[in-house]
Parts: sequence; structure tokens; C-alpha cells
Amino acid sequence: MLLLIPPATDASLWRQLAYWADIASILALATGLIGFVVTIWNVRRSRDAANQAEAAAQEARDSILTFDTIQELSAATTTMDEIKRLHRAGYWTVLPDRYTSVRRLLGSILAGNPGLSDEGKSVLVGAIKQLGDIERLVERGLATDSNPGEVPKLNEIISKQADKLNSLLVALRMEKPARNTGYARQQDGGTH
Amino acid sequence: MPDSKMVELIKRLLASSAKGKVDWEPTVNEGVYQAAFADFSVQVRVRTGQLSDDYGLQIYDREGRLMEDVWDTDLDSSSAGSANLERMRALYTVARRRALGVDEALDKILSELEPLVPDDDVPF
Repeated sequence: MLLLIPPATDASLWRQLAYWADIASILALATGLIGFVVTIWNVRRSRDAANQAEAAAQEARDSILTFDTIQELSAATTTMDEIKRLHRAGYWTVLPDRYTSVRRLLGSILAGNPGLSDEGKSVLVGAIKQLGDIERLVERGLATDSNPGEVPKLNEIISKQADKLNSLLVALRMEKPARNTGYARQQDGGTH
Repeated sequence: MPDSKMVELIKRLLASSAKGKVDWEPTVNEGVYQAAFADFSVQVRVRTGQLSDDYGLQIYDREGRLMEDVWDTDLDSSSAGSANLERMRALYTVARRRALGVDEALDKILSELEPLVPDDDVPF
């Protein structure tokens, strides 16, 4: 260590050393600052990439969910068409299972799509209640061995609910309008 | 549910329904009309009595289970007068008209009739 210290008498050497030491300090500071900026930039870039990856994953999940929902809604409306045919044919004993099946499907769509618009949810909630009421009426008719109900009236209600579900299905196929805007408002001229 | 909240609900339902902002629809049960919301549905109905009619409002959860069942007689017995009977009768009437499309039918019929002119002799 002592060998590195120049003689105290050599003032110019001391000044030169001090000068180079200052230069080295400034360079070190500059390098540190550049490193810091580069690190921050890399961190931000990584975060952006992570956000983009997360957004892409979310979009993929939403697409799968929308696809599943479309499949379930299609199945529900198909079963509702079958229910109307069974009403006409008077096969009352098999009908309660069909009502339950559609109600469960609609309940599953409702539970699996918390991001659905209020108008979309109200269509599902309304259909579940209407089908429940019809099921109760038919069950009562079967239990008392009486006519469960007027077929035209039952089918009119089923048709109206199926039409509403079909509109929801169309809106879901367009994806964004179903989740973010009031499709029912456009459809029914200002309800809800 | 406290009566005050139920009365408030009836008032708001009546106001929104009168403006056509609630989508009432018929149900399989005669004289029962339904409106659905995001998590609940409501039904209004009339019970014909010997002396007078009673009007009811039922609230159901999203699975269709009955949560609340209230009649004008329940509400008016705990508050003065028959204001709730009038409100619920008005709500039932507007719900029925909306559900059956009475206003649209009247508009359509009126559009097909000749408008009245001042010289028309209407004896009433």
C-alpha cells in the first residue's frame, strides 16, 4: 500500500492522480447511471411483455368461455324447441326433465359468465323463472292427473324465451356487445 | 325486508314501469306478470276477493326461489291509509298493459282511425 502512495513532495504527481481519480469516479457514476437506466428499461419491457402475455391469455380464456356459452345457449334453445314439440304431442311425463335440463344449462351460463351485461343476465334469470313456473304447473297436473296446461299458451311463453335467448346468442357471437353494452335495450326498445 | 324498503321498491318499479323501462311479460299463470333483472325476478299478481281485490308482489332469486311475498294488505296494515293498495293496483295495471302490449295495440288502432277534427259531432 505504501508503495502506491507517491512522495508528498511531488505535488504535480498528486494532482495528476487526483485528476484521474476524479475522471474514474465520474466514469463510474456515469456507468452506474447508464446501467440503472438500462435496468429500469429492461424491467419495464419485461413487465409490458408479461402484461401482453397475460392479456393474450385472458383473451384466450374469454374466447373459450364465449364458445362454451354459445354451445350451451344453442343446446338450451334446441331443447326448448323439443319441449314445444313434446307439448304438442302431449308427452307430459317426459317434460319435467327437459325443463330441469334447460334451467340447469341457463343457470350454468349465468354462473360461468359474471361479465355478462345486466340485460343478458336478466334474459337468463327471466327464462329460468318462466321455465320453473311451467315445470311446477306440469308437475301439479301430473300429480292430480289433470290437464297440465294450455299448449298454445305454454308454447308462446317458451317461444318468447327462446327468442330472447337467441338474441343473446347472436350478441355473444359478436362477443363485445353482449358483455359491454345493452343488447336488450336495442332489441326491446328501452327495457330495463 | 322492512316495509319501508318494500314500499320504496314498489314506488320505483311503478315509476320505471310507467316510463316503459321495465320489461314485463306474461307468465303461464293467468293474471301474473313478470319482470327480470340481473340477479332477481319479480312477479305481480291479483287475488280476487268478495269485497275487493288484493295485489301482491313476489321477489325471486336467480334460481327462481321465492324470497319475499308481500300484499297490499300487509303494507297498509302497518302504515296509514290505503296508499299501498293504490300503488300496487297501479303497478299491476301498468305491468299488465306492458306485458300484453296494450299501449302498442292502442297506438296501432288509433293510427288506423281518422283523427278527430273540431267539426266532428261527438255526442259525449
